[in-house]
Amino acid sequence: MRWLLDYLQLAIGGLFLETETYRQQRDAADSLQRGAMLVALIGIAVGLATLIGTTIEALVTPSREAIEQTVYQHLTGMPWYQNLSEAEPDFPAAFDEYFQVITPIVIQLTNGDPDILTGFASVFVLPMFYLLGWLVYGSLAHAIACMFGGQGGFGQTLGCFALAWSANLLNLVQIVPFAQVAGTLLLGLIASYIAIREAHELSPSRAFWAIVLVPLVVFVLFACVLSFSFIAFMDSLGNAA
Amino acid sequence: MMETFNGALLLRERVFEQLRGSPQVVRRGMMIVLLVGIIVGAVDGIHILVAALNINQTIEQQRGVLESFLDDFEQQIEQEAVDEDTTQQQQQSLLVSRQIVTIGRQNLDPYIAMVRDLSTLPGFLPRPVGALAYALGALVSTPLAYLAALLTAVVFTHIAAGWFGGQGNIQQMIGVGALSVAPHLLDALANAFGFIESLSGLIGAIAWVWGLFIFILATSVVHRIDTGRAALAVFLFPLIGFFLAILGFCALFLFSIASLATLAG
Repeated sequence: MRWLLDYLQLAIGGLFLETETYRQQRDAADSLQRGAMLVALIGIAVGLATLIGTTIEALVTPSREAIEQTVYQHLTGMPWYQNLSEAEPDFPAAFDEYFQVITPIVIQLTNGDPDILTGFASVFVLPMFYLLGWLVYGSLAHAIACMFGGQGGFGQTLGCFALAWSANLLNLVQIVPFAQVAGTLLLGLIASYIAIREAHELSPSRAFWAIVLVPLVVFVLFACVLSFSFIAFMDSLGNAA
Repeated sequence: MMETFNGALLLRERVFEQLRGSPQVVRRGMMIVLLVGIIVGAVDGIHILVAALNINQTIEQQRGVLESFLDDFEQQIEQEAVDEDTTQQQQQSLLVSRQIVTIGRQNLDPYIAMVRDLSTLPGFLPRPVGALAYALGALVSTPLAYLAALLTAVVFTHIAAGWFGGQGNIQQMIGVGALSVAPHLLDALANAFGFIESLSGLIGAIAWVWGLFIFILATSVVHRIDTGRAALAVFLFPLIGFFLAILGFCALFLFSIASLATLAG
Protein backbone atom coordinates (compact mmCIF):
# COMPACT_ATOMS: atom_id res chain seq x y z
CA MET A 1 0.00 0.00 0.00
CA ARG A 2 3.02 2.25 0.45
CA TRP A 3 3.38 2.70 -3.32
CA LEU A 4 -0.26 3.77 -3.57
CA LEU A 5 0.28 6.46 -0.93
CA ASP A 6 3.34 7.67 -2.83
CA TYR A 7 1.24 8.05 -5.98
CA LEU A 8 -1.48 9.80 -3.99
CA GLN A 9 1.06 12.29 -2.65
CA LEU A 10 2.38 12.82 -6.17
CA ALA A 11 -1.14 13.44 -7.50
CA ILE A 12 -1.97 15.87 -4.70
CA GLY A 13 1.28 17.77 -5.33
CA GLY A 14 0.32 17.98 -9.01
CA LEU A 15 -3.24 19.05 -8.24
CA PHE A 16 -2.08 21.84 -5.92
CA LEU A 17 0.50 22.98 -8.50
CA GLU A 18 3.46 22.54 -6.14
CA THR A 19 6.55 23.47 -8.14
CA GLU A 20 8.81 21.26 -6.01
CA THR A 21 6.76 18.15 -6.89
CA TYR A 22 7.02 18.97 -10.61
CA ARG A 23 10.80 19.43 -10.26
CA GLN A 24 11.18 16.12 -8.39
CA GLN A 25 9.18 14.38 -11.09
CA ARG A 26 11.34 15.96 -13.80
CA ASP A 27 14.53 14.78 -12.09
CA ALA A 28 13.30 11.26 -11.26
CA ALA A 29 15.02 8.47 -13.18
CA ASP A 30 11.72 6.64 -13.82
CA SER A 31 9.75 9.79 -14.64
CA LEU A 32 7.93 8.30 -17.66
CA GLN A 33 6.93 5.01 -15.95
CA ARG A 34 5.73 6.81 -12.83
CA GLY A 35 3.80 9.24 -15.03
CA ALA A 36 2.07 6.46 -16.98
CA MET A 37 1.14 4.67 -13.75
CA LEU A 38 -0.20 7.89 -12.22
CA VAL A 39 -2.38 8.68 -15.25
CA ALA A 40 -3.75 5.12 -15.31
CA LEU A 41 -4.51 5.22 -11.57
CA ILE A 42 -6.31 8.57 -11.92
CA GLY A 43 -8.32 7.10 -14.81
CA ILE A 44 -9.30 4.03 -12.77
CA ALA A 45 -10.23 6.13 -9.72
CA VAL A 46 -12.37 8.54 -11.77
CA GLY A 47 -13.94 5.63 -13.64
CA LEU A 48 -14.91 3.93 -10.37
CA ALA A 49 -16.28 7.21 -8.99
CA THR A 50 -18.35 7.66 -12.16
CA LEU A 51 -19.67 4.10 -11.88
CA ILE A 52 -20.78 4.59 -8.25
CA GLY A 53 -22.34 8.01 -8.94
CA THR A 54 -24.14 6.82 -12.09
CA THR A 55 -25.45 3.69 -10.33
CA ILE A 56 -26.97 5.72 -7.48
CA GLU A 57 -28.42 8.22 -10.01
CA ALA A 58 -30.00 5.36 -11.96
CA LEU A 59 -31.48 3.89 -8.77
CA VAL A 60 -33.14 7.10 -7.63
CA THR A 61 -34.29 8.34 -11.06
CA PRO A 62 -37.63 7.20 -12.50
CA SER A 63 -37.35 5.27 -15.74
CA ARG A 64 -37.41 7.18 -19.02
CA GLU A 65 -40.45 5.21 -20.18
CA ALA A 66 -42.40 6.18 -17.04
CA ILE A 67 -41.52 9.88 -17.53
CA GLU A 68 -42.44 9.76 -21.24
CA GLN A 69 -45.74 8.02 -20.50
CA THR A 70 -46.71 10.48 -17.75
CA VAL A 71 -45.91 13.51 -19.90
CA TYR A 72 -47.74 12.06 -22.90
CA GLN A 73 -50.88 11.19 -20.92
CA HIS A 74 -51.06 14.65 -19.36
CA LEU A 75 -50.27 16.61 -22.52
CA THR A 76 -52.85 14.74 -24.59
CA GLY A 77 -55.43 15.29 -21.86
CA MET A 78 -54.96 19.08 -21.74
CA PRO A 79 -57.58 21.46 -23.19
CA TRP A 80 -55.16 22.97 -25.76
CA TYR A 81 -54.53 19.47 -27.21
CA GLN A 82 -58.25 18.68 -27.34
CA ASN A 83 -59.05 22.01 -29.02
CA LEU A 84 -56.32 21.62 -31.62
CA SER A 85 -57.28 18.00 -32.33
CA GLU A 86 -60.87 19.05 -32.98
CA ALA A 87 -59.84 21.93 -35.22
CA GLU A 88 -57.13 20.00 -37.09
CA PRO A 89 -57.67 16.21 -37.52
CA ASP A 90 -54.02 15.65 -38.57
CA PHE A 91 -52.71 17.26 -35.38
CA PRO A 92 -52.52 14.11 -33.14
CA ALA A 93 -50.38 12.21 -35.67
CA ALA A 94 -48.03 15.19 -36.09
CA PHE A 95 -47.88 15.66 -32.32
CA ASP A 96 -46.92 12.00 -31.79
CA GLU A 97 -44.17 12.30 -34.36
CA TYR A 98 -42.66 15.40 -32.73
CA PHE A 99 -43.16 13.99 -29.23
CA GLN A 100 -41.09 10.90 -30.06
CA VAL A 101 -38.24 13.04 -31.37
CA ILE A 102 -38.22 15.83 -28.78
CA THR A 103 -38.98 14.03 -25.50
CA PRO A 104 -35.81 11.87 -25.31
CA ILE A 105 -33.70 15.01 -25.90
CA VAL A 106 -35.57 16.97 -23.21
CA ILE A 107 -35.26 14.07 -20.73
CA GLN A 108 -31.55 13.74 -21.49
CA LEU A 109 -31.04 17.46 -20.89
CA THR A 110 -33.14 17.77 -17.74
CA ASN A 111 -32.97 14.39 -16.10
CA GLY A 112 -29.70 12.98 -17.45
CA ASP A 113 -31.13 9.51 -18.15
CA PRO A 114 -28.36 7.78 -16.15
CA ASP A 115 -27.20 4.44 -17.51
CA ILE A 116 -25.36 1.88 -15.32
CA LEU A 117 -23.81 0.25 -18.41
CA THR A 118 -22.13 3.56 -19.32
CA GLY A 119 -20.82 3.71 -15.75
CA PHE A 120 -19.32 0.22 -16.09
CA ALA A 121 -17.79 1.12 -19.44
CA SER A 122 -16.15 4.22 -17.94
CA VAL A 123 -14.09 2.05 -15.53
CA PHE A 124 -12.36 0.44 -18.52
CA VAL A 125 -12.54 3.19 -21.12
CA LEU A 126 -11.51 6.17 -18.98
CA PRO A 127 -7.99 4.94 -18.03
CA MET A 128 -7.26 4.17 -21.69
CA PHE A 129 -8.74 7.50 -22.77
CA TYR A 130 -6.64 9.35 -20.18
CA LEU A 131 -3.46 7.48 -21.20
CA LEU A 132 -4.06 8.23 -24.88
CA GLY A 133 -4.82 11.90 -24.21
CA TRP A 134 -1.74 12.21 -21.99
CA LEU A 135 0.49 10.67 -24.67
CA VAL A 136 -0.87 12.77 -27.55
CA TYR A 137 -1.04 16.05 -25.62
CA GLY A 138 2.32 15.48 -23.93
CA SER A 139 4.05 14.58 -27.21
CA LEU A 140 2.71 17.67 -28.97
CA ALA A 141 3.65 19.89 -26.04
CA HIS A 142 7.15 18.37 -26.03
CA ALA A 143 7.61 19.06 -29.75
CA ILE A 144 6.43 22.67 -29.38
CA ALA A 145 8.55 23.23 -26.25
CA CYS A 146 11.62 21.97 -28.14
CA MET A 147 10.85 24.46 -30.94
CA PHE A 148 10.81 27.21 -28.28
CA GLY A 149 14.27 26.13 -27.10
CA GLY A 150 13.23 23.70 -24.34
CA GLN A 151 15.95 21.42 -22.98
CA GLY A 152 13.86 18.71 -21.29
CA GLY A 153 13.73 15.10 -22.48
CA PHE A 154 10.61 13.33 -23.76
CA GLY A 155 10.31 11.25 -20.59
CA GLN A 156 10.68 14.34 -18.42
CA THR A 157 7.93 16.17 -20.33
CA LEU A 158 5.50 13.27 -20.10
CA GLY A 159 6.41 12.68 -16.46
CA CYS A 160 5.58 16.29 -15.58
CA PHE A 161 2.46 16.19 -17.77
CA ALA A 162 1.21 13.23 -15.75
CA LEU A 163 1.20 15.52 -12.71
CA ALA A 164 -0.83 18.05 -14.71
CA TRP A 165 -3.32 15.23 -15.37
CA SER A 166 -3.99 15.28 -11.60
CA ALA A 167 -6.44 18.11 -12.30
CA ASN A 168 -8.77 15.29 -13.31
CA LEU A 169 -8.93 14.33 -9.64
CA LEU A 170 -11.65 16.99 -9.43
CA ASN A 171 -13.78 14.54 -11.43
CA LEU A 172 -13.79 12.29 -8.36
CA VAL A 173 -16.74 14.32 -7.07
CA GLN A 174 -18.82 12.36 -9.57
CA ILE A 175 -18.93 9.68 -6.90
CA VAL A 176 -21.74 11.85 -5.52
CA PRO A 177 -24.83 11.53 -7.74
CA PHE A 178 -25.94 14.64 -9.64
CA ALA A 179 -22.63 16.43 -8.89
CA GLN A 180 -21.55 18.97 -11.51
CA VAL A 181 -17.83 19.10 -12.27
CA ALA A 182 -16.33 22.49 -13.14
CA GLY A 183 -12.86 23.96 -13.44
CA THR A 184 -11.06 20.76 -14.53
CA LEU A 185 -10.13 22.04 -17.99
CA LEU A 186 -8.76 25.38 -16.79
CA LEU A 187 -6.89 23.84 -13.85
CA GLY A 188 -5.50 21.24 -16.26
CA LEU A 189 -4.25 23.97 -18.61
CA ILE A 190 -2.62 25.87 -15.73
CA ALA A 191 -1.02 22.64 -14.47
CA SER A 192 0.19 21.87 -18.02
CA TYR A 193 1.75 25.33 -18.19
CA ILE A 194 3.67 24.62 -14.96
CA ALA A 195 4.60 21.13 -16.22
CA ILE A 196 6.08 22.42 -19.48
CA ARG A 197 7.80 25.32 -17.70
CA GLU A 198 9.46 23.02 -15.19
CA ALA A 199 10.22 20.12 -17.58
CA HIS A 200 11.97 22.36 -20.11
CA GLU A 201 12.97 25.21 -17.79
CA LEU A 202 11.28 27.63 -20.19
CA SER A 203 10.54 31.29 -19.45
CA PRO A 204 6.89 31.92 -18.37
CA SER A 205 6.00 33.56 -21.71
CA ARG A 206 7.44 30.70 -23.79
CA ALA A 207 5.75 28.11 -21.58
CA PHE A 208 2.47 30.02 -22.01
CA TRP A 209 2.69 29.99 -25.81
CA ALA A 210 3.73 26.34 -25.86
CA ILE A 211 0.56 25.47 -23.93
CA VAL A 212 -1.71 27.75 -25.96
CA LEU A 213 -0.41 26.28 -29.23
CA VAL A 214 -1.08 22.63 -28.28
CA PRO A 215 -4.92 22.83 -28.42
CA LEU A 216 -4.61 24.82 -31.66
CA VAL A 217 -2.40 22.13 -33.23
CA VAL A 218 -4.80 19.42 -31.99
CA PHE A 219 -7.71 21.33 -33.54
CA VAL A 220 -5.91 21.76 -36.89
CA LEU A 221 -4.90 18.06 -36.94
CA PHE A 222 -8.45 17.03 -36.09
CA ALA A 223 -9.86 19.30 -38.82
CA CYS A 224 -7.36 17.84 -41.33
CA VAL A 225 -8.25 14.24 -40.43
CA LEU A 226 -11.96 15.08 -40.65
CA SER A 227 -11.54 16.79 -44.03
CA PHE A 228 -9.49 13.92 -45.48
CA SER A 229 -12.00 11.37 -44.19
CA PHE A 230 -14.85 13.37 -45.73
CA ILE A 231 -13.04 13.64 -49.08
CA ALA A 232 -12.25 9.89 -49.02
CA PHE A 233 -15.88 9.10 -48.16
CA MET A 234 -17.20 11.29 -50.99
CA ASP A 235 -14.66 9.73 -53.35
CA SER A 236 -15.75 6.20 -52.43
CA LEU A 237 -19.38 7.22 -52.96
CA GLY A 238 -18.46 8.58 -56.40
CA ASN A 239 -16.62 5.37 -57.32
CA ALA A 240 -19.53 3.22 -56.14
CA ALA A 241 -21.91 5.25 -58.30
CA MET B 1 -7.05 29.16 8.48
CA MET B 2 -9.54 31.30 10.41
CA GLU B 3 -6.90 34.01 10.82
CA THR B 4 -6.31 34.03 7.05
CA PHE B 5 -10.07 34.09 6.48
CA ASN B 6 -10.61 37.06 8.81
CA GLY B 7 -7.55 38.85 7.44
CA ALA B 8 -8.92 38.48 3.92
CA LEU B 9 -12.31 39.88 4.90
CA LEU B 10 -10.66 42.86 6.65
CA LEU B 11 -8.28 43.40 3.69
CA ARG B 12 -5.19 43.05 5.93
CA GLU B 13 -2.23 43.27 3.56
CA ARG B 14 0.06 41.37 5.97
CA VAL B 15 -2.14 38.26 5.67
CA PHE B 16 -1.99 38.49 1.86
CA GLU B 17 1.81 38.81 1.96
CA GLN B 18 2.18 35.84 4.34
CA LEU B 19 0.06 33.68 2.06
CA ARG B 20 2.06 34.81 -1.00
CA GLY B 21 5.26 33.59 0.67
CA SER B 22 3.84 30.20 1.67
CA PRO B 23 5.24 27.18 -0.25
CA GLN B 24 1.74 25.66 -0.17
CA VAL B 25 -0.03 28.77 -1.40
CA VAL B 26 -2.41 26.96 -3.80
CA ARG B 27 -3.34 24.30 -1.23
CA ARG B 28 -4.16 26.94 1.41
CA GLY B 29 -6.12 29.06 -1.06
CA MET B 30 -8.13 26.10 -2.28
CA MET B 31 -8.99 25.18 1.32
CA ILE B 32 -10.73 28.56 1.64
CA VAL B 33 -12.64 27.93 -1.60
CA LEU B 34 -13.59 24.48 -0.29
CA LEU B 35 -14.73 25.82 3.09
CA VAL B 36 -16.91 28.58 1.59
CA GLY B 37 -18.22 26.26 -1.13
CA ILE B 38 -19.18 23.54 1.33
CA ILE B 39 -21.05 25.97 3.62
CA VAL B 40 -22.93 27.65 0.74
CA GLY B 41 -23.55 24.25 -0.87
CA ALA B 42 -24.91 22.87 2.41
CA VAL B 43 -27.50 25.68 2.61
CA ASP B 44 -28.38 25.03 -1.05
CA GLY B 45 -28.64 21.31 -0.34
CA ILE B 46 -30.94 21.87 2.64
CA HIS B 47 -33.15 24.06 0.42
CA ILE B 48 -33.36 21.30 -2.18
CA LEU B 49 -34.07 18.68 0.46
CA VAL B 50 -36.83 20.73 2.11
CA ALA B 51 -38.41 21.54 -1.27
CA ALA B 52 -38.31 17.88 -2.33
CA LEU B 53 -39.79 16.61 0.92
CA ASN B 54 -42.57 19.23 0.88
CA ILE B 55 -43.36 18.66 -2.76
CA ASN B 56 -46.98 19.79 -2.51
CA GLN B 57 -45.99 23.11 -1.00
CA THR B 58 -43.30 23.59 -3.66
CA ILE B 59 -45.78 22.86 -6.45
CA GLU B 60 -48.33 25.27 -4.96
CA GLN B 61 -45.62 27.95 -4.90
CA GLN B 62 -45.03 27.28 -8.61
CA ARG B 63 -48.75 27.63 -9.24
CA GLY B 64 -48.73 30.95 -7.40
CA VAL B 65 -45.87 32.24 -9.55
CA LEU B 66 -47.64 31.21 -12.77
CA GLU B 67 -50.98 32.68 -11.65
CA SER B 68 -49.41 36.01 -10.72
CA PHE B 69 -47.61 36.05 -14.09
CA LEU B 70 -50.92 35.54 -15.90
CA ASP B 71 -52.59 38.22 -13.71
CA ASP B 72 -49.83 40.74 -14.48
CA PHE B 73 -49.98 39.94 -18.19
CA GLU B 74 -53.75 40.36 -18.22
CA GLN B 75 -53.53 43.65 -16.33
CA GLN B 76 -51.01 44.92 -18.86
CA ILE B 77 -53.31 43.93 -21.74
CA GLU B 78 -56.27 45.74 -20.17
CA GLN B 79 -54.18 48.89 -19.62
CA GLU B 80 -53.14 48.88 -23.27
CA ALA B 81 -56.75 48.24 -24.36
CA VAL B 82 -57.94 51.39 -22.52
CA ASP B 83 -55.59 53.54 -24.63
CA GLU B 84 -57.71 55.20 -27.36
CA ASP B 85 -54.82 55.68 -29.78
CA THR B 86 -54.33 51.97 -30.45
CA THR B 87 -54.11 51.05 -34.14
CA GLN B 88 -55.97 48.15 -35.71
CA GLN B 89 -52.76 46.11 -35.77
CA GLN B 90 -52.26 46.72 -32.02
CA GLN B 91 -55.86 45.69 -31.33
CA GLN B 92 -55.29 42.43 -33.17
CA SER B 93 -52.16 41.87 -31.12
CA LEU B 94 -54.18 42.52 -27.92
CA LEU B 95 -56.73 39.95 -29.05
CA VAL B 96 -53.97 37.37 -29.52
CA SER B 97 -52.56 38.24 -26.07
CA ARG B 98 -56.02 37.74 -24.49
CA GLN B 99 -56.26 34.33 -26.16
CA ILE B 100 -52.83 33.41 -24.77
CA VAL B 101 -54.00 34.32 -21.25
CA THR B 102 -57.20 32.28 -21.70
CA ILE B 103 -55.25 29.23 -22.94
CA GLY B 104 -52.81 29.67 -20.04
CA ARG B 105 -55.63 29.72 -17.47
CA GLN B 106 -57.43 26.75 -19.05
CA ASN B 107 -54.27 24.62 -18.99
CA LEU B 108 -52.85 25.71 -15.63
CA ASP B 109 -54.52 23.01 -13.51
CA PRO B 110 -53.70 20.11 -15.88
CA TYR B 111 -50.11 21.42 -16.07
CA ILE B 112 -49.80 21.48 -12.27
CA ALA B 113 -51.22 17.95 -12.16
CA MET B 114 -48.53 16.84 -14.64
CA VAL B 115 -45.76 18.44 -12.53
CA ARG B 116 -47.18 16.75 -9.40
CA ASP B 117 -47.26 13.32 -11.08
CA LEU B 118 -43.75 13.74 -12.48
CA SER B 119 -42.40 14.82 -9.09
CA THR B 120 -43.87 11.79 -7.38
CA LEU B 121 -42.80 9.20 -9.95
CA PRO B 122 -40.89 6.51 -8.04
CA GLY B 123 -37.36 5.31 -8.80
CA PHE B 124 -35.91 2.01 -7.60
CA LEU B 125 -34.98 3.61 -4.26
CA PRO B 126 -37.49 5.62 -2.18
CA ARG B 127 -37.99 9.31 -3.05
CA PRO B 128 -36.31 10.72 0.10
CA VAL B 129 -33.08 8.97 -0.96
CA GLY B 130 -33.33 10.71 -4.33
CA ALA B 131 -33.88 14.06 -2.62
CA LEU B 132 -30.84 13.43 -0.42
CA ALA B 133 -28.77 12.55 -3.51
CA TYR B 134 -29.77 15.83 -5.20
CA ALA B 135 -28.90 17.76 -2.03
CA LEU B 136 -25.48 16.09 -1.80
CA GLY B 137 -24.91 16.86 -5.49
CA ALA B 138 -25.51 20.56 -4.82
CA LEU B 139 -23.24 20.40 -1.76
CA VAL B 140 -20.20 19.08 -3.63
CA SER B 141 -20.79 21.05 -6.85
CA THR B 142 -20.70 24.50 -5.22
CA PRO B 143 -16.96 24.54 -4.30
CA LEU B 144 -16.11 23.52 -7.87
CA ALA B 145 -18.32 26.29 -9.27
CA TYR B 146 -16.44 28.83 -7.13
CA LEU B 147 -13.11 27.31 -8.17
CA ALA B 148 -13.98 27.51 -11.88
CA ALA B 149 -15.00 31.19 -11.55
CA LEU B 150 -11.84 31.96 -9.57
CA LEU B 151 -9.53 30.23 -12.08
CA THR B 152 -11.11 32.13 -14.99
CA ALA B 153 -10.60 35.46 -13.22
CA VAL B 154 -7.06 34.50 -12.17
CA VAL B 155 -5.88 33.48 -15.65
CA PHE B 156 -7.02 36.71 -17.35
CA THR B 157 -5.87 38.96 -14.52
CA HIS B 158 -2.48 37.22 -14.35
CA ILE B 159 -1.90 37.80 -18.06
CA ALA B 160 -2.93 41.46 -17.79
CA ALA B 161 -0.86 42.01 -14.62
CA GLY B 162 2.19 40.69 -16.49
CA TRP B 163 1.71 43.42 -19.11
CA PHE B 164 1.58 46.04 -16.33
CA GLY B 165 4.90 44.92 -14.89
CA GLY B 166 3.62 42.24 -12.47
CA GLN B 167 6.15 39.82 -11.01
CA GLY B 168 4.09 37.16 -9.25
CA ASN B 169 3.59 33.61 -10.46
CA ILE B 170 0.35 31.84 -11.28
CA GLN B 171 0.39 29.69 -8.12
CA GLN B 172 0.59 32.78 -5.91
CA MET B 173 -2.19 34.38 -7.95
CA ILE B 174 -4.48 31.36 -7.47
CA GLY B 175 -3.69 30.98 -3.76
CA VAL B 176 -3.94 34.64 -2.77
CA GLY B 177 -6.75 35.32 -5.27
CA ALA B 178 -8.73 32.55 -3.53
CA LEU B 179 -9.12 34.93 -0.58
CA SER B 180 -11.64 36.82 -2.74
CA VAL B 181 -14.01 33.86 -2.34
CA ALA B 182 -14.22 34.49 1.44
CA PRO B 183 -17.01 37.14 1.30
CA HIS B 184 -19.10 34.73 -0.76
CA LEU B 185 -19.88 33.05 2.53
CA LEU B 186 -22.66 35.66 2.43
CA ASP B 187 -24.13 33.68 -0.50
CA ALA B 188 -25.26 31.15 2.12
CA LEU B 189 -27.24 33.96 3.75
CA ALA B 190 -28.53 35.10 0.35
CA ASN B 191 -29.72 31.55 -0.38
CA ALA B 192 -31.31 31.27 3.05
CA PHE B 193 -33.26 34.49 2.35
CA GLY B 194 -33.98 33.37 -1.21
CA PHE B 195 -37.70 33.88 -0.60
CA ILE B 196 -37.07 37.66 -0.26
CA GLU B 197 -35.70 38.34 -3.73
CA SER B 198 -34.49 41.92 -3.19
CA LEU B 199 -32.72 41.07 0.09
CA SER B 200 -30.97 38.03 -1.36
CA GLY B 201 -29.94 40.08 -4.41
CA LEU B 202 -28.53 42.81 -2.19
CA ILE B 203 -26.55 40.34 -0.06
CA GLY B 204 -25.20 38.68 -3.23
CA ALA B 205 -24.15 42.07 -4.64
CA ILE B 206 -22.36 43.00 -1.39
CA ALA B 207 -20.44 39.70 -1.46
CA TRP B 208 -19.48 40.24 -5.09
CA VAL B 209 -18.19 43.81 -4.59
CA TRP B 210 -16.36 42.84 -1.39
CA GLY B 211 -14.75 39.91 -3.23
CA LEU B 212 -13.75 42.25 -6.06
CA PHE B 213 -11.90 44.58 -3.64
CA ILE B 214 -10.08 41.58 -2.14
CA PHE B 215 -9.17 40.32 -5.61
CA ILE B 216 -7.72 43.70 -6.58
CA LEU B 217 -5.65 43.80 -3.37
CA ALA B 218 -4.55 40.18 -3.97
CA THR B 219 -3.39 41.10 -7.50
CA SER B 220 -1.53 44.11 -6.14
CA VAL B 221 0.22 42.07 -3.41
CA VAL B 222 1.08 39.07 -5.61
CA HIS B 223 2.43 41.11 -8.51
CA ARG B 224 3.93 43.88 -6.36
CA ILE B 225 2.15 46.61 -8.32
CA ASP B 226 0.06 49.52 -6.99
CA THR B 227 -3.67 49.02 -6.53
CA GLY B 228 -4.49 51.28 -9.50
CA ARG B 229 -2.59 49.02 -11.89
CA ALA B 230 -3.99 45.96 -10.15
CA ALA B 231 -7.54 47.28 -10.69
CA LEU B 232 -6.68 47.92 -14.33
CA ALA B 233 -5.36 44.36 -14.65
CA VAL B 234 -8.58 42.97 -13.12
CA PHE B 235 -10.86 45.03 -15.37
CA LEU B 236 -8.84 44.92 -18.61
CA PHE B 237 -10.19 41.69 -20.12
CA PRO B 238 -13.80 42.18 -18.93
CA LEU B 239 -13.70 45.67 -20.53
CA ILE B 240 -12.25 44.28 -23.77
CA GLY B 241 -14.98 41.62 -23.73
CA PHE B 242 -17.64 44.26 -23.10
CA PHE B 243 -16.46 46.46 -26.01
CA LEU B 244 -16.20 43.46 -28.31
CA ALA B 245 -19.76 42.48 -27.37
CA ILE B 246 -21.00 46.03 -28.13
CA LEU B 247 -19.15 45.99 -31.46
CA GLY B 248 -20.64 42.58 -32.22
CA PHE B 249 -24.18 43.83 -31.47
CA CYS B 250 -23.62 46.94 -33.62
CA ALA B 251 -22.33 44.80 -36.49
CA LEU B 252 -25.32 42.47 -36.14
CA PHE B 253 -27.70 45.45 -36.05
CA LEU B 254 -26.16 47.00 -39.17
CA PHE B 255 -26.18 43.63 -40.92
CA SER B 256 -29.89 43.12 -40.15
CA ILE B 257 -30.74 46.63 -41.41
CA ALA B 258 -28.73 46.03 -44.57
CA SER B 259 -30.44 42.65 -45.08
CA LEU B 260 -33.89 44.19 -44.59
CA ALA B 261 -33.04 47.03 -46.98
CA THR B 262 -31.89 44.52 -49.60
CA LEU B 263 -35.07 42.48 -49.16
CA ALA B 264 -37.25 45.61 -49.36
CA GLY B 265 -35.35 46.83 -52.43
